[in-house]
Amino acid sequence: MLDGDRLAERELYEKHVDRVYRLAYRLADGDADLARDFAQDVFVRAFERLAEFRGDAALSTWLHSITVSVALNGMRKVKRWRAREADLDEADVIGSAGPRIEPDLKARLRAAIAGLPLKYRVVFTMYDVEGFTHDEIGSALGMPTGTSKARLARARARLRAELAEFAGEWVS
Amino acid sequence: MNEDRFGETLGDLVRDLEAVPETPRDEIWAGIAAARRFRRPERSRRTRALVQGLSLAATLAFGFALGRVWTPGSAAPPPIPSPGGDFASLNAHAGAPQFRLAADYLARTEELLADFPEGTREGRASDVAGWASQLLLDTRLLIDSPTGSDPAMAPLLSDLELVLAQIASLRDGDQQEITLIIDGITQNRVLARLRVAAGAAAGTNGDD
Repeated sequence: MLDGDRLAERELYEKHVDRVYRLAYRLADGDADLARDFAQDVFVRAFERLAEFRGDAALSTWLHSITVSVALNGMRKVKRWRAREADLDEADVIGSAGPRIEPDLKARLRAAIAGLPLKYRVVFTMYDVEGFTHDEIGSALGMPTGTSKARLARARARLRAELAEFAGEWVS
Repeated sequence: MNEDRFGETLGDLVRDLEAVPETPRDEIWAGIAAARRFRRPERSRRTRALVQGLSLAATLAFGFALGRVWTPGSAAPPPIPSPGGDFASLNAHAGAPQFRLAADYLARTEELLADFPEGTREGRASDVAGWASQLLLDTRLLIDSPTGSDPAMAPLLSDLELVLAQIASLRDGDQQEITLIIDGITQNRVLARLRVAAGAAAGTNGDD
């Protein structure tokens, strides 16, 4: 595998691509095209650096670490671009004072998660949504397990507060 | 509801409301293969200088083959088209599926070229090269599509193919090549033309 054996690379790809893609999809705010591009970039980078992988962490952890890095960097670029696009949009779209429509649960939940500080959102997404353990998150993000737990608690607290007015009973 | 239960409930809700589509395995694998085709293998430092020279020669040859050379002052720069004139067809069909693809491609390419000088200064040439190699594939697909027959798009796509090919083969520290690429972009007004086209394709008339 370390010699660039394409068959072994394909085997590695087949084994890990689903989880990489799922994580990329979540971090890409549900944009399937971006998730595909991120997943592709993850494996391109991983295959290039496979010789540097020393096996002192699980291969999956290493891949997830690259995934988080690629997705977050990619999203920063996307957000910069979208902000520029928004600047170009009609002023009446940005500044319209039309009637407020109460967003549905999906939109509200999405907005609440998107409104989390990035460091909380990543941990919440990995733990509560995608089922990573705190050990896996700590290894992938290069931080102690306790930090992962603390960030998750803060993320949940913020979401609880954010959704309380809208979702009432089930968050209390 | 305790914290863990709350987290589980939220997780369930997110998964229910935002189901992840099936992984496009073949598509991703094809993209990986395409991106890697454009990447040069690691070479020893000793051979790198020779390869840089050959690369420069190859780039110049490619430029001659396309009928232009990317050196400063070699020819009058192409005029900047008008979105309502030259890119009228793009602007008129903004929102149609094929033009949405073109708009997305143009936007991504504009971002790359705008980021290129800073990216190479910060030592991210390899990252920029990887990004360019993906866009190069898209460029070639567009050239072969009906969009590539558009009289205003064809020369722009041709210039973009050249500049992306140059960037895709770039390595960190290849300053001579970087300077040539930046000069080419400037002299041929690539970014300005690209912005007009991107605006037209996005339906904003390129007025940024």
